[in-house]
Amino acid sequence: MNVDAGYLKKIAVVSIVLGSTYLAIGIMEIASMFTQYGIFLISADIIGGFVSITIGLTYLFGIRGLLRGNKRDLGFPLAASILAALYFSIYSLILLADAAECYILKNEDYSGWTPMHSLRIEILIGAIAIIIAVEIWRRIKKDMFFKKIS
Amino acid sequence: MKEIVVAVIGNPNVGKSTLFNELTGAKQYIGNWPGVTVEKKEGEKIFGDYKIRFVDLPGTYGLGASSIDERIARDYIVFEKPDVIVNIVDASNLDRNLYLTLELIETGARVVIALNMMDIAESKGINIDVDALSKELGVPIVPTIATKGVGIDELCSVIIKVAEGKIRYRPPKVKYPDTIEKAIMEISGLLSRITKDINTRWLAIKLLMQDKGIVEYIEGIEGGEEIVSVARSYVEKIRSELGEDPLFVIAEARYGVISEMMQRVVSRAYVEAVDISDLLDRVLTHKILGLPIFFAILWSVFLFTFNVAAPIVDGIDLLFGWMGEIIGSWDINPLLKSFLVDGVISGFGSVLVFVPNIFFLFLAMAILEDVGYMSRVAFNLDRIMRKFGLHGKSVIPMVLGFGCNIPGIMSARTIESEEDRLTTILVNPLIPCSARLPVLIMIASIFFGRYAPLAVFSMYVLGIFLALFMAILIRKIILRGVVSPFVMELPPYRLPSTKTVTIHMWNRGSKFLKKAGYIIFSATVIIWALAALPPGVEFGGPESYASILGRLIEPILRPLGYNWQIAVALFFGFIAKEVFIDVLGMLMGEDHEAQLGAMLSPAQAYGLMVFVVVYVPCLASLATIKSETGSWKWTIFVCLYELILAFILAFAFTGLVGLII
Amino acid sequence: MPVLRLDELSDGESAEIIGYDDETPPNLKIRFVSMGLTRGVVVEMIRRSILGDPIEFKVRGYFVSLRKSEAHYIKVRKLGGEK
Repeated sequence: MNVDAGYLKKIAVVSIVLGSTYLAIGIMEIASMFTQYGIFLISADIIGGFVSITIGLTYLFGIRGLLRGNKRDLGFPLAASILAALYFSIYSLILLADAAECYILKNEDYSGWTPMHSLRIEILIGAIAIIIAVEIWRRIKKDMFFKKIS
Repeated sequence: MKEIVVAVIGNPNVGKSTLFNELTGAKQYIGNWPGVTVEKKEGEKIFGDYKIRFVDLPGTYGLGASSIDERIARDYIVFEKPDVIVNIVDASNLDRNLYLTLELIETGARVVIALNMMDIAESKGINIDVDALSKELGVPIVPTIATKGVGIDELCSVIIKVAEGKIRYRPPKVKYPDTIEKAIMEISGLLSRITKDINTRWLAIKLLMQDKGIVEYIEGIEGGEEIVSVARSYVEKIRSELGEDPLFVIAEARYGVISEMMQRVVSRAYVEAVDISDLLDRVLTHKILGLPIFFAILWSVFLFTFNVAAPIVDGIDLLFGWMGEIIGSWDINPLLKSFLVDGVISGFGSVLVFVPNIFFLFLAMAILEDVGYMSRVAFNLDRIMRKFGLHGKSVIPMVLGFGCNIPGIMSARTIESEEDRLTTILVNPLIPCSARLPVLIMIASIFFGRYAPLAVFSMYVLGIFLALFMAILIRKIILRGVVSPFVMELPPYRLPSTKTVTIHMWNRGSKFLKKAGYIIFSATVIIWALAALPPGVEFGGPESYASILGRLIEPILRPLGYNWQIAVALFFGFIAKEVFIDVLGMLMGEDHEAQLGAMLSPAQAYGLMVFVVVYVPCLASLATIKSETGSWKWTIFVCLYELILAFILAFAFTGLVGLII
Repeated sequence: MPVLRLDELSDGESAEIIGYDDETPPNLKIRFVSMGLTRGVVVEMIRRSILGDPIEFKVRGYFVSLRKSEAHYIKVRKLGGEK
């Protein structure tokens, strides 16, 4: 069996790390709206903040079940990672779109823009989440058992 | 070239659209079945010396009459009699799919089965002996994998062979218990005296099952009423003899046949220990996480549609601005120049500026639908929606309406029940679309200063509230009581297929463009004409046709405090809401905001905002409503109820706000 | 084992369909039947929606959701215990 208690514990650890990271990111992004600090890579974005908090919580909700050895709770890190991957893609695309506005269209709203302006931490961490998602998915697909046909 | 007509039918979620796309390519004609909101898709394929015309029938689980979709599919097969029927069956779900197959065979039609999703069945360890199944059912079967284009040509060649009569088959008659068979024999004997076209055995079975549509049809034929009462007495007899409704006896017999067949033909090498879809559903329909995740996904669609498409939109803007400048520098007749720049280019511009956003939106929706997430959205939110007379699947159209009512209305097609679909469409225009926002912002900033955002926000609240309220009203009064079954399958999640998604996006996007595009373009030109003619007048000045029109409408609007310029702006706002500001600017000149500020009181201004939000759907939305509902009645209904509502509410709010301020 | 209605099952419980309520609307009956919810079939309750309604079941190898009011028309008899 591919998916045994040891594997589940490993995933639980990953969930704790990624979960708390996203949670922290989300809280900071909401907080940034009220302070004027542009912290490195953290955008001031209330809704984006809620999204990151949601992703963080999704990771965290699965931990208890995984530690208990419940295979079905793999859905939590899987879903969280898919969401993280989704936002990795969206934020990356926005980065590209902003680049197009600045360099190709020479839009004056973007005159002082550099790629760093649109680079968000969710892009970097999201890349890790994608790897996790793919890994969990592959493991599950291989997890079959043979049934005797009478 | 010889032509044959082939109907494509199957359960929902079996990959019917994908297969249909593979068969017909992207060139499809999409319309409506007459008088209903159900979409009718047709396409063609040239194969050998044949032109095959494919007709896509609505997804259905059986040929009964439990919903309009079902009835449409059934009526087409039985009354229109296509040459061949392609029944798409999900190989990983054979059990339930074959019920429809048996019904189809019973109608006597020539059926070819496309056994689709063979790859999924294989990955689940399901092994089907296709030849054996074909012999059991007595119909030709072609294994296919629609998402990969496997088996398409073979399917077409089998279709042709069947049409030419080259494939002979004896469909097995499902044998029902003796009591029923006796009833069938007598009833079909009687039926054969009054109808020659339709398989009488099938009709007899339907009468015994008390199918409303068939009963009505038979009663409509001369001599039919007696047969119907004969059938009824048999129903009673069977009830007392077998202790059960014939409906159940027949259905159970069919399933009995199916299970036996499956035992002989299907084997399962292994079973999955973990089902990924189940895993994900635990999270996506989670009591606490489900809704936040839904919002997160929705937000990503929003970002995708606007932020990612932005450079393309801005690029188009630049292009048109540049074209305008070039023509502006030509030395030609000023009227012609104005026509080209303010009319044609401006017209094209206002249409094309929609295009990237719309296509991106449809792409995002197509992906979510293909992946299977949409049914989970409906599953999560059905309870709330139902309180307002709507369906779980009404959520997405409502949400899309905030961006633009047209995709909102178009996406209502995913709702299976006709009444829920219609209600969703009819109330959608009340949701404030993004075109109204600039107008609302302009008015609010002139009159409400610091409270402007609050005023605008209150419009959104009003819009949602009205939409829900009208939904309840429509349900209680007009579309009363009819409740279609919710019973909805939750298909397994799957990776989206690029081909399906792209074709989907393309079809919807071009449909939107064709409808809305012509209208908005023509509207802009007409507005230009009204403002620029008669030749020589001041553009938009008191002698132009525009102002004459305005003075005609003015009396109706004067009680609300609006003058002729606002009247004209509102009139053109009917054509496309955002145009309101442009027209006002044209008619009043540069300082239109100041003029407006002087003309109205804050209370009247608030009333104006309400009026703008409610009064009529923009022309393009109306065109969409007409094409989605297939009826003038409903289109006019929407216009009227919104207009009346707008007047009443504008008055009411003007008065209310006047008391407060 | 006691007879109850389909909407009364708890998470993970399986039951066998034994019939429908006499008052079941005809179009619902037809829908149930064509989707395979017939007598003798085993249905497993999977989960309820966020607000308790609709309910997801597994039947004949696929997943279907029904509104509580619809599921109530189906009479079932519980099989063994939980999964």
